Amino acid sequence: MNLFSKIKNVQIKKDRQALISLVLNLSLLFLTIYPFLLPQKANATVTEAFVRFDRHATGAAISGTACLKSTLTTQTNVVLVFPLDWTISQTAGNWTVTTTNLPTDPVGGAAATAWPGIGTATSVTGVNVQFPGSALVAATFYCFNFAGASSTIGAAGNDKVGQLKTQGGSPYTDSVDWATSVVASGADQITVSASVSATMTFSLSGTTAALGTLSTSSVTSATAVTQTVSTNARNGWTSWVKGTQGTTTVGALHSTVANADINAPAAHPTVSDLSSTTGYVLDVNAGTGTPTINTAYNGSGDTNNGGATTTLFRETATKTTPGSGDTVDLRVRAKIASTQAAASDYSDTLTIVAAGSF
Amino acid sequence: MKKLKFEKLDLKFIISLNLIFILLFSQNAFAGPQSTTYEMKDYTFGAGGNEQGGSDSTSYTLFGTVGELEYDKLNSSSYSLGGGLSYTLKANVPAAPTVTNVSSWYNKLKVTIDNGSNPSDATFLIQVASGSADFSQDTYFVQTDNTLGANQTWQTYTSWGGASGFTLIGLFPGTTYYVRVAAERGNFTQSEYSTAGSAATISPSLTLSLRTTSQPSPPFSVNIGNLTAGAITTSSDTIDITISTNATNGGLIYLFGTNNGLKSTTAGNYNITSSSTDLTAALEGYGARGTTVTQTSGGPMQLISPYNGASQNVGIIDTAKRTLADSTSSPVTNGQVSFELKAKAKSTTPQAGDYSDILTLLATGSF
Repeated sequence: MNLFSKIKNVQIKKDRQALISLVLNLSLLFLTIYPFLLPQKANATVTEAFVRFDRHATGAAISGTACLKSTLTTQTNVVLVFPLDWTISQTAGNWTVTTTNLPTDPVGGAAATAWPGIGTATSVTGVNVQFPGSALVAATFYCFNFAGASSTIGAAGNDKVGQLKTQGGSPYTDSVDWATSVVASGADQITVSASVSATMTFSLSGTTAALGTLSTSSVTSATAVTQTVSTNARNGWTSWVKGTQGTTTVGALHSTVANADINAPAAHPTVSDLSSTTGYVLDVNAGTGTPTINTAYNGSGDTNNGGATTTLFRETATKTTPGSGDTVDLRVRAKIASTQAAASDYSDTLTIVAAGSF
Repeated sequence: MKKLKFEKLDLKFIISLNLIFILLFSQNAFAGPQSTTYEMKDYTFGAGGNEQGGSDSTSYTLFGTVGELEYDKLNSSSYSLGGGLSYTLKANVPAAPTVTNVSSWYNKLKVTIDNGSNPSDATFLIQVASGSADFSQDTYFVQTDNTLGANQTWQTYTSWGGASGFTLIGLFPGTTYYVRVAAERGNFTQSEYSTAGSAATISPSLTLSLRTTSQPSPPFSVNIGNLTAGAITTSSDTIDITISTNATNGGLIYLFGTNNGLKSTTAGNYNITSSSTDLTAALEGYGARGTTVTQTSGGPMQLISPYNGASQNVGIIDTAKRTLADSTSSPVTNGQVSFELKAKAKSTTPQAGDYSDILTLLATGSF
């Protein structure tokens, strides 16, 4: 009753009514929203969040990945708060981001979604670095990579704490504390070493090459002897051949009985075609492993061609990379003139060697 | 008295005024009978019986008093005996709730309230203060989703988790929270708050340590040894990484290399490429294989595929940060993971004495 008594005595005028009405409405609005103005002590909207740094070592450059899964969507900025004793570049432009090679969600293993709207930092205040961002979808695992030029991890120690915050309609939509560990320089890395020893294997498929009775009209070729080389020499291998008969430039088949030679038609390194001449030659052809045949013995597939063996080692084939079971076929050929002394002991001994280039 | 000229007041004015009164009067819901001048703080009528004593029928409840007792004198540190009808109506004051930080929690606490021998349909209000033990600042109420908020939320003892309690979530790290409880059963029966229980959250934590079998301190190096073509060589040293974290979603250990394999500079940057494979069948390769996981508590730790392979199965070591192990989405103490390195050369793997890689181990907590 008292209250109404007071009200009845109020002299209400149009202007005063409007003023009072405004004040009361504002009061009503304030009282209505007052509970929501109370500072929230914490929120429980972040279901997952982590900040993973690319290094744990003191003094290392700061870079890493920040991830968040929240039930809220009104996010506009992202703020990374680093430990207080870290060196943080105060130049916003030094804080760059990427969204490639993001981690998977530790809960469920789904691929992370690139943080929408993320970009180079827009401001830095102390150890707070603010990046732009845009609205998120609730319950989605978002990540972005960050790197801070001229920024380094602080002193070694465990439980170095920081925060990952998002800004939206209120000062912070989400805020989650994290911790990381800083270890001594190099204490987060392991140098792994190993060695591989040099290897080399070499073999010939046979040790004889019988030419039989030589002809004055056709070229006689022996069965090929296959040379096989395996080596892990990083620069590959090379093989050579030398004979025991002839000279340092012209090899020969020698007969002790006839004391005669069947010489190569041309001195090393010329390749001869026995279809138009006579003599004794060696033809080399590549097998497996694609070795390169030396031009001095490369008959180019012609069954009449070949080069002169000599009493010096001459290169037959080479390869510039390690080989496994690389093969080369060595085939001797001969054709005699009608005046060639008869004998059955024409022979030569070829020595074939190979070496790896380590 | 002259009649109030309501016709001169606009509708907004009246509505606003009424709502103001409602809001203001609602702050005094438990006051006694009153006029504009006086309030009966203590009053009574009738005698005998009380609400919780069963003196009621399906239609009526008889309230009584046990006598007029001076309000302020029958108090001790633990009990108070009030007099008058309002005390008779009030629910029993619960004992202080039990507040516990169960396991190095940084954002939650376990709360178990006492029902104060109140009937099962009694409801309870839980008030929390973070700034002061006397609840003079930063006070909140526990909401139905177990977070803190401004709304007074009344629930039954059972709804608050009964004897098992509930986990109060969404708290700040490194903060002491004080919790007290009021009970009520129907209108005008709210008890005084209980004495407070309290506990503190701790700060988020993450510790990391690394060592090899033969090297307890950095710099760390592991020599796999000389690789024989066609044979699998295993490092004699294992690498042990240990983490502890109170992160709610557990800890994770990541591994990455710098060369995508074992690289030799002298062999023209030849690389024994790493891949996730069974080295028995591979001509050449390099990778890591987890051997053991242990923990003092929490977790448990587990190796993540492809690092959990048997025998000669290895996981890739490349420049991508790959999850080696985790603590199964749970906090962990001294969670240790050991792994070995394996390599195999083929016959054409170039000879060199400088095959190398640099591994970096990372750990993070998913808070």
